Amino acid sequence: MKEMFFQETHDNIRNALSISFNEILDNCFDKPPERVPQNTPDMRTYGKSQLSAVSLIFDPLFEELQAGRDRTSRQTACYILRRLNEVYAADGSVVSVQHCQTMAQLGIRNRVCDCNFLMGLADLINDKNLGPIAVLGKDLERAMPFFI
Amino acid sequence: MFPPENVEAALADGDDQPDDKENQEAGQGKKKAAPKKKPKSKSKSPAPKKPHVAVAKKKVPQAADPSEKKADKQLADRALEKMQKNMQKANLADLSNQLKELDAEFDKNLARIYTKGGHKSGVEGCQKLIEENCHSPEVVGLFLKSLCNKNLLQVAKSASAGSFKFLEFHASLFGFMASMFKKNFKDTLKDIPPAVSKTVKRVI
Repeated sequence: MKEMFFQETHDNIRNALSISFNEILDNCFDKPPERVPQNTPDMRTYGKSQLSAVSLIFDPLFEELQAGRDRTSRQTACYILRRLNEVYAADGSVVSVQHCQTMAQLGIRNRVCDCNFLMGLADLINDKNLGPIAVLGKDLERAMPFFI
Repeated sequence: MFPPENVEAALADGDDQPDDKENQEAGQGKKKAAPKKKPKSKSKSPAPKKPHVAVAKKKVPQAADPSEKKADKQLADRALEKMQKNMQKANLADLSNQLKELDAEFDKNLARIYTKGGHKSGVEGCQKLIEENCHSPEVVGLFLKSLCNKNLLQVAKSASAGSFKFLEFHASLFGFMASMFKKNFKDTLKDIPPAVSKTVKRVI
């Protein structure tokens, strides 16, 4: 999907991709119990070693936030990240503190100046269960000049 | 005539009672058959071990029966195995034909997504095929192979107007497949051993 569609700039395609990511994460793995509190380990697992299925979905998206990536595909990744964060905002096993900090760290250190990324980060900061300290963590000092 | 010493010797050699009876019967049989062979025996030696030979001749077919049965069974088993293999081959051939047909039909519907007039029917056709075959995981590989075909994207990009809609439909089919196949979302053609995680990684 990354190779085929991440170069497309239209929001409809990006939306379809985010829905596909969501469907894969929801249906192909074991579901966790409802209303999982924050910082609980991910219940969607695969394999004998019970690796996290969330990382299987989000890691390819975080890869696009690394330095030296194509601008369009990075924008698509940011759009999908924001959408998925919105969908799983109540699910603490997906949008956990660790997930937020990884996203913030990658975005701030690699200077991702994308609308969807910043809006997604703002959504996380404004979340009742998370807040700026949980989301930004050690990168709080770096975040201030980045936002300004 | 049948010498009594030989009968005693035969009785002494045999362990079981049925053999003894047989020996006796054989002896009686010889007695009846004796008049014909008399002139020959008279001319030569009396041949005292004849009853032993007769006993042995009767024992051989009895001992051969189980082995023959075994051989028959083996033959029957082999024939059955051959039949089963042939049936399996025929079934596999049928299955492969069905899969080929399904693949061709899915390809047709997918190609129709990228035509201006028929994208709705194309999407519906693809979704219908996925829904119909969502319980057979062998099909996942075929569908994914068609969906990941990059040649279709070139066609989409060449048709400038409304191409984003076609791509949108195409992209949403991945999610639809995942929602239909659920934990059977394993590509049996490419991933060995097939696993959801491998397929998901490759799809993404």
